[in-house]
Amino acid sequence: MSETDNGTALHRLLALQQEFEDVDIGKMPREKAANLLNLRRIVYLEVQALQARAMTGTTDRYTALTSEFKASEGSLRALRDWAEEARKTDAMVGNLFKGLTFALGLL
Amino acid sequence: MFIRVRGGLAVLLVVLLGGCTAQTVSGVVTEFDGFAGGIGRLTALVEQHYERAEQLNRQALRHNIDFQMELGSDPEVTTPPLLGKEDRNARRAVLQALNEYAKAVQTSGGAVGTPPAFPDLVADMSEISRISPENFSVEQTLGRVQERDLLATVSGLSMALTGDTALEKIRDVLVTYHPLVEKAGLLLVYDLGSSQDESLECELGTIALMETPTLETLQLCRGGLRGLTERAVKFDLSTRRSRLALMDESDARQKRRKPAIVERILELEEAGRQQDEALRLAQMALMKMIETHGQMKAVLEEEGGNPALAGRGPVNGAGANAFLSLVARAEDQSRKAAPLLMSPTTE
Repeated sequence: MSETDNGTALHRLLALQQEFEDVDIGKMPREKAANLLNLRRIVYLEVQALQARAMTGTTDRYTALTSEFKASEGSLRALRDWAEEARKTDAMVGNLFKGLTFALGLL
Repeated sequence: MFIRVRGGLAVLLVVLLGGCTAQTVSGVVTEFDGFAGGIGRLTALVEQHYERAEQLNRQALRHNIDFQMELGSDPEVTTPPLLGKEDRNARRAVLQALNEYAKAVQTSGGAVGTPPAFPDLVADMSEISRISPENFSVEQTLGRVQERDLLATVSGLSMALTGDTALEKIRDVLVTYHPLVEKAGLLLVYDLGSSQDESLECELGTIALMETPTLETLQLCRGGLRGLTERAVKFDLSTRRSRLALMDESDARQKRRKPAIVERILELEEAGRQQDEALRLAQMALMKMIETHGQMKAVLEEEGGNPALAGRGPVNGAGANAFLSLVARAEDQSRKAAPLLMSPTTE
């Protein structure tokens, strides 16, 4: 279980949303692009849930709120594996790799 | 001292004895009418904004799911709401409490020796007594003690609506319930939130809720309905930009759709800005509501204590007019944003 607090988790997920935006999806393989689109949806749901529902406190320990995010480890890992390989030639994907690693740390 | 004059009309006239003028009397009534009418419109508008955020959320999720399917994926087809049923009900309860309170003040205007006629106006106020901090995401902007204080006070609005027999004069009602109106208004302002990330500047626990702040001095941090709305729009924009990026230019059918997609992206960007402005204006109107109630209370306090002061202050409709004017601006802005936000997907 994550040892991260709610405030930190939210900032990490917001950062990951931005990293999703910075990736040139047009250059990704179709299958990876579809995975990225799905992870965008999953992270969006988690961020909105974090902001819409009252948190017990920004400093309280974070636990994933949505079933989608809780079940996303496989998708996050698959995209991170791709980003790990792709970052050798693309600096922007390097940021995505870090963001996905942080996100996996939340689960 | 007030005397209630009740003829065959439902309208109540408030007469201030001891040198008051007919203008002052009608002024008080006008003020109450304007105040109540404005709150009725404003609470309906705020409720509409909560619903609009839900529509934007559904629209953005559906679009993302559709696009994934077009790419051959099999995503989970769910569009969970932003706010759960209890959360929506809690907000409705606060809005309804404010609305019913305003109507009660309007129709009870200045009874002497009899309690304000509140009970008949109350349909079902049971929800407000169940409001909990868990139903509002104001935690980011408020310290815990302040949050509890705020919500406890809002719950107290239900007391006004059960007809406290100790409150025999409208002046006393306004004085007694002003803190509740103020805090209910502030709770909604906080809940509408901010689209700007000001979290680094947020100093939790230092907000003086007992003083009447302005929208500019409130530290709203990030989040609330403005934040939720902004992220829903950005999420939808992100999917639409991905459509462009993944478009197969050699496919004539896809290429024909490109101008419409670009058009919708530009439209949605503008819609996001317009909607945020609509929410900001609703927040301003809520602040004005608090101010107007405070003015009404202050003038009635002065007049009650010293008849020579009758007619001073905003008891001539001016306070309520300013409030109504802001409500109208918020409504106009909302109407302006709506067609841009909800226009059907044409691409």
